[in-house]
Amino acid sequence: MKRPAIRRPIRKLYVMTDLEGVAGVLNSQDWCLDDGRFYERARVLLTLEVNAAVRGFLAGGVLEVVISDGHGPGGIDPDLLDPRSELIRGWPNGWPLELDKTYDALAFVGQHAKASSLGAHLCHTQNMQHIDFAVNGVSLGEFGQLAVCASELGIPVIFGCGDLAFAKEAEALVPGIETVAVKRGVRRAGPGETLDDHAYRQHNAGAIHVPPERARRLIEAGARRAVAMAGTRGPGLIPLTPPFERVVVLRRHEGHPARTVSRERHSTSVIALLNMPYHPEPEI
Amino acid sequence: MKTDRIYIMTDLEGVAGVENFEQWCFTKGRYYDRARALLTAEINAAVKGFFAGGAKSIVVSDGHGDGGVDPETIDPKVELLRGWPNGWPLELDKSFDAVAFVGQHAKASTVGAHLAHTQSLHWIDCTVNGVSIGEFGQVVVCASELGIPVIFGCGDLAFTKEAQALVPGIETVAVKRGLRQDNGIDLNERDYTRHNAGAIHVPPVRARKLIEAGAKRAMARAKKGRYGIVPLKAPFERVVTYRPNDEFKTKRISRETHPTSVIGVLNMPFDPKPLT
Ligand SMILES: [Zn+2]
Ligand SMILES: [Zn+2]
Repeated sequence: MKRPAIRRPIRKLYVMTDLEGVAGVLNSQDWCLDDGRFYERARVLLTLEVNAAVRGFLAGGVLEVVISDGHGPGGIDPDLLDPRSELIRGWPNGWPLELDKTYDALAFVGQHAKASSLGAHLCHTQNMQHIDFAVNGVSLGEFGQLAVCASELGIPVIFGCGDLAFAKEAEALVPGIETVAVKRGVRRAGPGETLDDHAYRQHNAGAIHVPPERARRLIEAGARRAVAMAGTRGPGLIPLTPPFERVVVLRRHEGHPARTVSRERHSTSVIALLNMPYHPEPEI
Repeated sequence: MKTDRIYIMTDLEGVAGVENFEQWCFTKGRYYDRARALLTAEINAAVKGFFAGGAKSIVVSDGHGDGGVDPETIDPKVELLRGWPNGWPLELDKSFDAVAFVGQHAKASTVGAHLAHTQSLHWIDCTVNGVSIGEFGQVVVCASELGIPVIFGCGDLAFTKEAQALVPGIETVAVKRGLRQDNGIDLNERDYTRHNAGAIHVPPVRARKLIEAGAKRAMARAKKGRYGIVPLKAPFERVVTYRPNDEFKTKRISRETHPTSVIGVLNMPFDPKPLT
């Protein structure tokens, strides 16, 4: 006899955030780098999207929300952040980025798609040098990396908002996740895998945006729905089978005229694997 | 004709209250953020008119090099397109029923224009099959090749005359008029930047009322009859002439041809040679 899934109420939630997946964040140079003309506006736009999500989560019954600032130079404006939440900035211990078993669920705001995605906006994985990052043959972006850590800890991923390509990536990887798309990348002919890191920065710079005000209404409603529906449409966990092998392919870049590949293994833990340093070798 | 889905091309130099290049149109300019706010408010006025006239979905395309639309204050009912990684026709496609322009300036070397230029201040002129076309005309010929009519444009008075000459019947609204009475074709790039810097402006609040009413009028007229497509005849030759600048001391010229497509010819790389 099949037992109905036991639904654990979501009391404490970890929200990972990033800048490139936010509506109104138009490109990398002006909006996402800390010397960019509109970098401060981009931080405001992300923080307001986070606040919209927080409103939805709290309205859905979540008691405690911890926001993790995931953008390299910083993406959250602490002054504007909903005072009912807490903010993590800095991850001195590496993966899983201070996520632990005290959390009941994981969510994402402002997330972009993984490197080499088609039809994505500002997609990348960690930096512009990554062509692909895979664990046991499954390609993972920044979303997927934290999602596998959460899965190892038994924490379901319930919500993600960002560009449409990210939303599709999240749904493909995590059965049952609730997503909201706030922009869609302008289609490109190919994934740009032969470009160097500088050329790749320009490759996915076009998008059609939902204006921020409307995006925030969609996010608030989606976050609320995610808490209400959690566990009903899928487990929110990625099945993991040890041993784990990570394969990272890097673009040609300054000092490295050809692509390189890094392969590492761990016998029991995907979190431990993600914490291993890269050993890039020329691609054969 | 059908006017459900509209593509709005936008630019900064044709906006009422945007007074010059240096302070208003370049990212480092003193009033660049004010200029973005003025353009965005003009767009919102046009959008109001289009929705009132029956439009169902609107995509606003940010056409100013450094960026001219403020995503934070744009009407939340539209979508905003920024970045054209695929070149011409700038993500315009057959899903659109009509094209409109807001904040558009006249083409390079236009007499009586304000902040006129084509692509950059480096260009003297761009022609396709002998017809001089500016930034407006380039989008118009792409739209016509795709069968999409151009129904509305607002900007300076010289731009509105250019639009009416190229697209008979187009609805236009002028929000300022330039004062310079010579074309400046023999100026170098630096001097041409200041050449068209004088204008008489309608103040923005009034300009936006005119734009909203004009957009509404365009929708009403488009419903009744078809206008806004220009005739095209293959093959296509594009000719661009260039002013001298710090790098190139003489005028130059670039010629490219395409056997079948005007979009194709616009996407061809330039190969300027000294003009003799
Ligand atoms: Zn990121
Ligand atoms: Zn322009």
